[in-house]
Amino acid sequence: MIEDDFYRTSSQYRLWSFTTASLQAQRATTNAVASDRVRAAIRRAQEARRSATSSATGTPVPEVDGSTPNPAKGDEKAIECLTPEEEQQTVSYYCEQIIQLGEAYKPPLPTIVRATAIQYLRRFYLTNSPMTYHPKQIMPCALFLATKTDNYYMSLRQFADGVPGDTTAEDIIAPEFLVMQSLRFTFDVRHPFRGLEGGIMELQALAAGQGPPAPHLAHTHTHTAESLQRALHALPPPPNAPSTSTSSSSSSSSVTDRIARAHHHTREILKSAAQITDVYFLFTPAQIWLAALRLADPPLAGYYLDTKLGGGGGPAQPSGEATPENILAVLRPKLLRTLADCAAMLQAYKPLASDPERMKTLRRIIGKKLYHCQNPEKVHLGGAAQKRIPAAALAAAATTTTTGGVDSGASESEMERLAKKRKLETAAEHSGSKDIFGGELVMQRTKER
Amino acid sequence: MPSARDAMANRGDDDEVCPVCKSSRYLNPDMQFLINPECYHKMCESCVDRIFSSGPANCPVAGCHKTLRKARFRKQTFEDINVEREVDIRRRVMQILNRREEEFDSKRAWDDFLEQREEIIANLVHGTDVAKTESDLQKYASENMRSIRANQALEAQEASSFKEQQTHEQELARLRREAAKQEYENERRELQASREDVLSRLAAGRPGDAAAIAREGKKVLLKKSSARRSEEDRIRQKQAALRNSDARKAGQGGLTADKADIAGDSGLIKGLKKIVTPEPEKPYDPFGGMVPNKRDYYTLRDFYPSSYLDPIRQDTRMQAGGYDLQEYYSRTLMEAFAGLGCFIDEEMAQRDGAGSLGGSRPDATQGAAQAAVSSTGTPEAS
Amino acid sequence: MDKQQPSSFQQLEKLGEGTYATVFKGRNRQTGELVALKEIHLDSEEGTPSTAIREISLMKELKHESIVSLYDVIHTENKLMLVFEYMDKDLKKYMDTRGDRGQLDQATIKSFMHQLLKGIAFCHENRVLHRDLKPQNLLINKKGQLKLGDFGLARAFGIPVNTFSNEVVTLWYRAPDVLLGSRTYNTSIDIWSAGCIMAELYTGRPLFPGTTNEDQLQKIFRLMGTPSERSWPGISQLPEYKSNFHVYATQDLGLILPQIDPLGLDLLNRMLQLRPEMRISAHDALQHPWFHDLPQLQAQLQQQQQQQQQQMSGAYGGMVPPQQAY
Repeated sequence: MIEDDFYRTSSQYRLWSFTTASLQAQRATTNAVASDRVRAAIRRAQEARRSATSSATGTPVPEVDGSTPNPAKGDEKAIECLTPEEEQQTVSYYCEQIIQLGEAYKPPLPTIVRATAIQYLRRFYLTNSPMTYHPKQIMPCALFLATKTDNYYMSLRQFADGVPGDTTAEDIIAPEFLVMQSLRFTFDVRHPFRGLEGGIMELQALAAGQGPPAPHLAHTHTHTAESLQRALHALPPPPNAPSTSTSSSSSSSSVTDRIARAHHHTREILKSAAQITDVYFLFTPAQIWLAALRLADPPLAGYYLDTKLGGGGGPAQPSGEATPENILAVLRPKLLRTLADCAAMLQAYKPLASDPERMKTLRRIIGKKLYHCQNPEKVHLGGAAQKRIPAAALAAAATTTTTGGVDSGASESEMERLAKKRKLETAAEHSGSKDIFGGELVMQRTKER
Repeated sequence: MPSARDAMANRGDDDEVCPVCKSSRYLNPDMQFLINPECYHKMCESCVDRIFSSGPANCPVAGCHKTLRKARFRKQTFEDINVEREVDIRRRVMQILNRREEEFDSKRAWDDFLEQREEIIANLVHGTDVAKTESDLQKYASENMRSIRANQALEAQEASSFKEQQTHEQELARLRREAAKQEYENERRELQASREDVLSRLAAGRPGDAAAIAREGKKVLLKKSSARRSEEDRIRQKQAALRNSDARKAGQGGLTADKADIAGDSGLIKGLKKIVTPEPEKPYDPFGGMVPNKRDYYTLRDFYPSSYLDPIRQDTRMQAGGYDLQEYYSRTLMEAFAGLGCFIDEEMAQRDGAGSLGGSRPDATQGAAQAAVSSTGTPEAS
Repeated sequence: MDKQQPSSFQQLEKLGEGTYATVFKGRNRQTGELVALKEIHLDSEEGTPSTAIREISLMKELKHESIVSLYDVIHTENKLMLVFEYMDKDLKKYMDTRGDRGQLDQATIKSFMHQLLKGIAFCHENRVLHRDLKPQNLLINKKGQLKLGDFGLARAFGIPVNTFSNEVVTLWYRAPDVLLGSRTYNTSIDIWSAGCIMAELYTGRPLFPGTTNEDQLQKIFRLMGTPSERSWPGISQLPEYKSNFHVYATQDLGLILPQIDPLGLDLLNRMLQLRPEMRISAHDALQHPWFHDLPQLQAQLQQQQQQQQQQMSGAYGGMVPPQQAY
């Protein structure tokens, strides 16, 4: 189909589409790599501290400030890292935060900007772990980047004012290049929102008897604008409809209202469930909005699909030639299955905030566990001076080489090398400054190798 | 040719007499006889002037009531008036039934067509079944107007290009001859030169080297001629290609006639090719095979009822400023269906199976990662 | 793996300077391939300039033979470097060096216009407005290919009530609707620019070389006639519309472009319509009869070359034995 080939040229299809298995594998790899590095880094930090202590002649070790990730009590105490699932929950939490942060602006940021930012964050954490880069640092940057890519102009200062806490403008753009690189410089996100508008527009035309049949069904004469209109008006009411509207269903205004209601409901699903779940990675925008419409008003969605794919009268002749009818007949069951999968995924979504129990667990994960397993070498990513971009880029280099997902194993050693190098550089930059690693660290590290 | 024809027409006996005014050539040596293909009755030029100058009139020959027009009188080509008539009929029929051999499925069908054409001509000449034959012919002519025209144009073109082609070919042949002569000349000179070279080296060298020098000389010659041969091959190929392209062009001309009307099958001619063979060169295609406005899932309309969009549609200011709601329609509908039939799970699995995309595609990040490493170029500690 | 460090590109001479970037010629040290390096300055207060982000974003999606390709994005010290496919010249330089006082021949003009419109049609099909078409942004290579470059001002379109800044497109190629202050302009602004460029290909001089917004409008009206509410409904509501515009009559474009053929003039007139909705679309322009002889034109060029070769080979020693000739 022409429209499908159109989508296949998009970077979303080329770089950001996965099978369930490959998506899971990608996340597992990212988690494993990050965990190893966190353990190694924390160990190094401990060793460094120990040698620092021993070299400090006589004077008691100055209590390192509160941010020390792992109080050096039990040596080699097993460092507990996040699991891939915990990582994912953490990211989801910050995705929901984006929605709220966007709401806090006056005027609120457009839905599309927030949705783009959420997808940036989700794409970013496919190849980076929250243990390496804390989402609270990345989230505002992703949102600011989205204002640029979605043409919603806002100055950095204006934007920073809206971010709660003491986050400065510099903090926000410090990881910008890192984020851009992790996104593989593809900023175009294909959302299902506009597609929904198109579909609703066409449904309204069908309701008014102005909807032409689909190109490949026009010649069969089973579909005409009039027959389609009649069928639409004869639809059974949606199961979840308020009981009042069931009484009179054939007047045209009620059909229009019904479409408007379905529109609203679908949009809500797209703004929430579609953003926080994996549907963008696993399905296409066209499938996502149709699946959401199926949740909002199943008979309406079913009817609309029939206008596109035919009523599914006879099964496809497997030996038959590639006539449009035959192609549609093959497409139909496959598409219905896919839409059902997508709808199930959307339906399973429950906002974290609505579930106090899960919220509690999550708070424990983010507040304690993530706090303890945060890679100490990346903590200061955003906190430093203006000229941080190269360092950020370097850090990015360390992680984003794996974006392919398949060859991630191969580049592991390289990443490790780069990480060490970056750490050295950071240390060099900060030598003498009030850093948790102290001044002699460079020498220490040099010996170490 | 016309002069020969004149001579033939004038060669008539001196005592030839105009059947209308009875004046004879003997008295009037410049007398010219004219005929009209309506009835082929012969009369002299002055009679034609006299009778038909003021408009169409009946043939003055007793018993003939045909209405004749002056414009259609002409000189007789053949002495035998029956031959004259047959030639005229033949010309007319062949102008209508001007199918070409390449338009037929088989040789047999072509032959059948030729035979049929002869039969029609014979019918008209000998007056058998004239009414039916004429009506068949007229019906065919009106139904196949386009192909008749196309084939006529083609014939005219062939006639005019034939001459051109001949001169062109002669010129090419001349060039080739000259080139061959030159080549022969070169070869001869080279041969001579290398022989002389061998001789002079033999003269200068020690006696023991003789065999070696002779061998070497032969080798050089061989090498040269083989190099030349490959050059010849190259050129021959090029010329062959050129000839092919000429042939293709000619074939194309034929096709235009084929294409003209396949539908107009009056049933008069059997065995015409049904469908045109693949076109050798596509006509102008601005989009290189892509059809920009063709869609598979929806048909774009000029207007969609929408309470949300209606105000925009009515806002002259937006319209004046160039806003086009059509762009909105086409974009939202495209996005509504772009990728509907892309089954990510299936397609990605295939792709991953076909070879890792991430690795094969030199994407920005890899390059950039390297870039960042080298550019920051901090002194390596170890 | 393809390692592309900045050091793996030899930076050669400067090719040009834009508002937010400097372009250098570069050579890939490994392959010897020439590239264009677009260096983006990051010293802004806003992080990476949104123009750069937009350009990268669009170039990642738009892959087409009539659009210059983005190979890579590289980051160095404090700048971002975009690595583009190398093109020999921009159209302006090409006209200066190749044409007769800037004028080009008919076949070249037709080929360039066709490629330009193909690139525009592809952008529009992908819902992207270029918004800054001008000879300096059209790149030409040795094969005679023309490609659209510099998408720094480009953006997506098609969202209703979406208004754009009118600070787009170099003045000379700016459409009258934009000059009149419209913020709802659409694909038609790229077509206006293309029309101006087409005229320039014939004359070698810009068609409307205005100095200010007002002067630009005046130059346009002097040639195309002053529009009115009758010829362009709603025009009086545009912000920059003045009821006291000097009223000019429409002139015949053919008079100032004596070299153009009637079909070409027809296409040009359809592109240079004052009223945006009357302007021809890129898609329709490509189907204009003026382009119908393009394949023959190209075939002719090829044939000429072939004939030259043949004659050369004849002089070379046409070794084909005469009996084989025909």
